[in-house]
Amino acid sequence: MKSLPAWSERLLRAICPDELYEQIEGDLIEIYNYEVKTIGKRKAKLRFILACFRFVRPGIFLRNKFSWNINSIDIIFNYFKIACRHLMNSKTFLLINVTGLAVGITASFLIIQYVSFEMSYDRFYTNSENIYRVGLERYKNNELQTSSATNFAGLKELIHENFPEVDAVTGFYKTPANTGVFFRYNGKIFNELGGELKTDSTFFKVFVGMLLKGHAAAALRERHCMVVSESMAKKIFGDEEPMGQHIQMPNDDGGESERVITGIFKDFPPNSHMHANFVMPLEPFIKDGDEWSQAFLHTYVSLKEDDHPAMVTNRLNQFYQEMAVKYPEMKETKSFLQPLTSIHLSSHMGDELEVNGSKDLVYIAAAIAFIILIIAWINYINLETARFAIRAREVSVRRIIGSAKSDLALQFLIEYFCVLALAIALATSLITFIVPRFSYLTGIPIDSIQWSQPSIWLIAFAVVVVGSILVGIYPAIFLLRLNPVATLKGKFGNTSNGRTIRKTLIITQFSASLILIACVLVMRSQLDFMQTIDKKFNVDHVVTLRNPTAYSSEAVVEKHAAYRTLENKLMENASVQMVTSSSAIPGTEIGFTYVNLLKRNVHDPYNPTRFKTLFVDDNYIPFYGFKLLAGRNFDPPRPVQKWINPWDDENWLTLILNESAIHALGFNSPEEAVDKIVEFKNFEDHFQKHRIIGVVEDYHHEAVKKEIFPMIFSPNYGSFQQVYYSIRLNSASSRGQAVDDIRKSWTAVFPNKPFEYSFLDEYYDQQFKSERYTKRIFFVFAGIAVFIGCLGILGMTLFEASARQKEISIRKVLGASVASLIGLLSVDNVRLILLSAIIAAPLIYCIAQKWLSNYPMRIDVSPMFFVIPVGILLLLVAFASSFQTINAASTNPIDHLKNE
Amino acid sequence: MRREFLNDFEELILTLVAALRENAYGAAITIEIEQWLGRKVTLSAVHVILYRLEDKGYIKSTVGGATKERGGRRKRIYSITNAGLAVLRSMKETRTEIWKLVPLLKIVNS
Repeated sequence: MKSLPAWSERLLRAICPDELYEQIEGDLIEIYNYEVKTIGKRKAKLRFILACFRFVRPGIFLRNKFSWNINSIDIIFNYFKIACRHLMNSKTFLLINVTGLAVGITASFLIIQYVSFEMSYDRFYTNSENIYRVGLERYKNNELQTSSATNFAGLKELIHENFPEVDAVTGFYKTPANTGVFFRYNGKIFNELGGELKTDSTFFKVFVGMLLKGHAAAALRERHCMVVSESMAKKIFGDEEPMGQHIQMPNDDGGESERVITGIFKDFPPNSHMHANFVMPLEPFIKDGDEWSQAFLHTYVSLKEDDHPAMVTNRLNQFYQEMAVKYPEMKETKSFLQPLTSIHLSSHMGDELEVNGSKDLVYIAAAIAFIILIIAWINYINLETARFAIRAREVSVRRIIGSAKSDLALQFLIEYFCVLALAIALATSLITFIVPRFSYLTGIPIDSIQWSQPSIWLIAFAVVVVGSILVGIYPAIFLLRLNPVATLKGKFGNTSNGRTIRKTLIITQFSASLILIACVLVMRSQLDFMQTIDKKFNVDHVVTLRNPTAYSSEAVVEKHAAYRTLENKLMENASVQMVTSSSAIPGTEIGFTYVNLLKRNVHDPYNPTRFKTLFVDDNYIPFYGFKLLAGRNFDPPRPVQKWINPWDDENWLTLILNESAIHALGFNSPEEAVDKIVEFKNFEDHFQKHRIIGVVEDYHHEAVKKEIFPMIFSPNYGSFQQVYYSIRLNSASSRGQAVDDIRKSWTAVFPNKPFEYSFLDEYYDQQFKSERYTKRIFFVFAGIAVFIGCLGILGMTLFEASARQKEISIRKVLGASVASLIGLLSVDNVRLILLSAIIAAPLIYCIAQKWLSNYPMRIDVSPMFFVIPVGILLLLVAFASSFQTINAASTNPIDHLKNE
Repeated sequence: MRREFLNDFEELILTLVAALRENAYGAAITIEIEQWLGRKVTLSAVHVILYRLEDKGYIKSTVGGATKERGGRRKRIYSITNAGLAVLRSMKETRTEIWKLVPLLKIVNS
C-alpha cells in the first residue's frame, strides 16, 4: 500500500472512532484495490483520497467522544461548584482580587485607548501612506541650526516641473487659529475662528478623500473660490444647499469681493495634525525671485505608489545646492520628506501647524498600562500563593486519594477564571461608565471606544491573554510541586522559596508605585513652576477683544479713528484702567516671523536668525509691565488726520528689541544697543533704517514651553496690525460689571460687530493644557497603581496576621505589648518599601531628567522627588495594613490558642 | 406500535446485508450497489447508514478476518437481526398491498 498517502491514515485516525477505524480503513483500501483493476491506478488513487475526505462528516466523527464528553462536562461542572464554594468562603480575598484585577484591566484599557488614538493620527486620507511633508533644515558650518515645517514658496513649482514621480504637490499658508475669518452672508456677519488655509488648486489632489462635494481639480481654481468644512457649511447656510452660494468678504482694496462656495470638505477629525474650516486659493503675492527667499508655505507631496521618499529628498537637495548660487537664502539649507503619519508623534520643528504629541509620552503611557496590569497580576499571585498555605492540606488529601496533577491544575485554573470573569465583568461596566467622560479626564476628544488601530489592540489583547494564563498557572504549579505527605504532616509553612518570590514581586510593585508617584510630583512641580515663576508680566484683570476691523475693508485712517473712539469710550468707564492694542497678546502666536529681517548694516550677509515682530502701541509695555532694561518706551502717536506715508514720520522708524534680539545682532549689553541704527525690513520689502530706542527684558510670549525667541517691537500707529485690544480692569471692579461696561462701549463704536472677549489669565493658562492633562492622567493612573498595590498589601497583611495568629497569641501571653506586636507585623513592609526606594531612586532620577529636558525653563531634580513618594507609600501601606494588624494584635490570645 | 421508517437507501442496504450474509461489510456492499444498480455511492455514506442501522438494532456486527486486498485490516461483518428482518418484511408487504390496489394496466400502443 505504499502508493497511498500516509496522511490519509492520520486523517482517518483523527476523525474516526477508535473501534471503527480499522474496518473503515480496510474497506477504503479494498475498494481502492478493486478500482485499480477496474478503472486504473491514477483514478483509483484520486477516488481513494476523495473517499477519505468524505469521511469527514458528522455521521462519523460525532460517533467519537460522546460518552467521554458528558463525563468531562460533569467534572468541569463539579470544579465550578468547588471553585464557587472556595471563593465564597473567603469573600474578602475575592473582593480584593476582583477589584484589583478589574481596576487594572480598566486602567490599561483606557490607556490603550489613548495610545491607539495618538497613533491613529492622519490615517484617514485615502492615500495617507503616500503623503509626505517637505521640511526645511538650515545649517551653519554643517551644523543643524533650525528645522521648520514650512518651506520655500517656490518649492511646489520646482517639484511640479521636475519630479514626475510626484503625483501632486501643494503648498499652503495657514492663518493662526485665533485669527477670525470675517465675512457676510445674507446680511449676517460672521467672524469665524478655527483658521483658514490659503492654498493652491492641487490641495485636494494631495489630500485625497477629503472633498465631499465639488471637484478636486476645480474647487480651488479661480480666485473667488472657497471651500468650507461640513460643519461650517451647516453653521452658515443651515439646511440650504451650500454649493454655489455667494458670500461677501472684505478685500485689501477696501471693497468687498464675492466668494463662491465651490466645495465642501469633511471636517478634519480630532486625530489630524491640522485643522481648518476654510480653504481658499492662495493669492500670488510673491514676486519673481522672492519665492526662494522666504520659507512660509507648508508643502506636501503625494508620491506614486512605489516611489522612494529618500530618492526624492536626494534629488531635491541637488536642486537646492545648484540654486543656492543664485539665491543666497538657499545656502546651507536642505529639504527632507517627512511621512504624514509620523508628523503628530515625531515632528517638533519650527512652524508646526499645531502642537504635536509626543512619542515618549505615548510609550510611557503604554508602559504604565503594562505596569498597572503587572501590579494587578502580582497582587493576584501573591495573595493566591500566600493563601495556599490553607489550601495545601486540601490539595494533599486530594492527591493522596488519587487526583491527577492535571485535574487539580484544571481546578485551580477554573477558580482563577471565575475570578477573572468577575473582574472582566466589573471592568466592562467601569469602562462603559468612564469612556463617555474620557475626554474630560485626558483632554483627548474620545467619547466612544476606539478600534481604529487593530494591531495595537491585538498586541494588548495578546498580552492580557498570555499574562492572564501565566498568572493563573503559576499558583497551580506552585501548589502541585509540594510534597503531599510532608504537607499533611504539617511541614508546609511559608517555604522560604515562596517567600522570596513573593517579596520580589512586592518590591516590583512598590518600585513601580514609587516611580509613578514621583512622576506626578515632578510634573506638578514643573507645572507650578511654569505657571508662577516665569510671569514677568501681569495677566490678571485683563480682558482682551479682537479687533473686528483688523482685516476688514475700512480705510486705515478710519480704523485708527475707530480704535481711538473705542479707547476713549472705554476709558470713561470707572472699571477700566488702561487700554492697549497690539498684533498679538501674550499666549498667542506671532504671525509676523521671518528670517533675514533685521541687520546692523544693509550690506551684512544674509542673517538666518528668525525674528518675530510684534506691532504694539505706546501703552503696550507699561500695560503688561515689561521691564525696560535700557532706553525708553515709544512716544505717543501724533493725531492722524490723513494717511501719511509711515516712513515720513520719524516716530515710526523706531524699534524696541528684547534681549535675545540684541544678542542675535551682536550687541553685548542693552546699553550698547540703545540709540543704534539698524536695518529692518518692514512691509515695503526693503531694508529701512530704524533706531533702537529701548531694550526689553526677555519674556515668554507664545508659551513658556517654547524657547524665548528674538523679538522686535514696532509701533503700530494707525496701521492695520491692531488685532487685539487689551483692557486692564480696576482690580476693585467686578468682572461681570466690567464686561458689561466694555460691551456698552463696544456697541457704541462697532454697532454691527460681534462682541467676543476673553480674560487673558484664562487664555494664557491654556498653553498649559497639555501639561495639566498629562499631570491629571499620571495622577489618576499613579493613583490606580498605588490603589491596586495597597489592595495587595491589605490582602497580604490579612493573610499574614491570620497565619501568624498563633505566634502573636503566644507572644501576647508572654507579655508583648500591642504596640510592639504592631511593630513586629509592620517591620517587614517597611523594610520592603525602603528596599524598593533604593531600586526606584535611580530610575526616578533618569525619568525626571529626561522629561524635564523637554522644557527650556525647568526645575532641578530635588531629593523631595524621592522622599515624598516613599513617605506617601509608607503612610498608605500603614493605613491599609493597620486595621488587620491592630485587630490581630489586640484580640484575646486565648481565643486562638484554645482550639488545637 | 410505532412504525419504524427507513428511507430507500437504508432499506436497500438493509436488504443487501440480509442478502450478502457473511459477506456483508462496507466495501462489499458499496461494490454490490454499484454492480446491481449502476449507482455510484460513497463508502462513507454506506458506513454512516450501517452505523445508524446498527444503532436502531436492525443489524449487528462482528469483527471478521483480514485479507490481503485490505492491507491486512479486519472486516466488520454485519448480519441482520430479527428486528431488521421484521421491518424489511413489513415494508415489503406494505408495498405489495399497495401494489395490489393498482389496477391492472397494460402498456398499449396508442
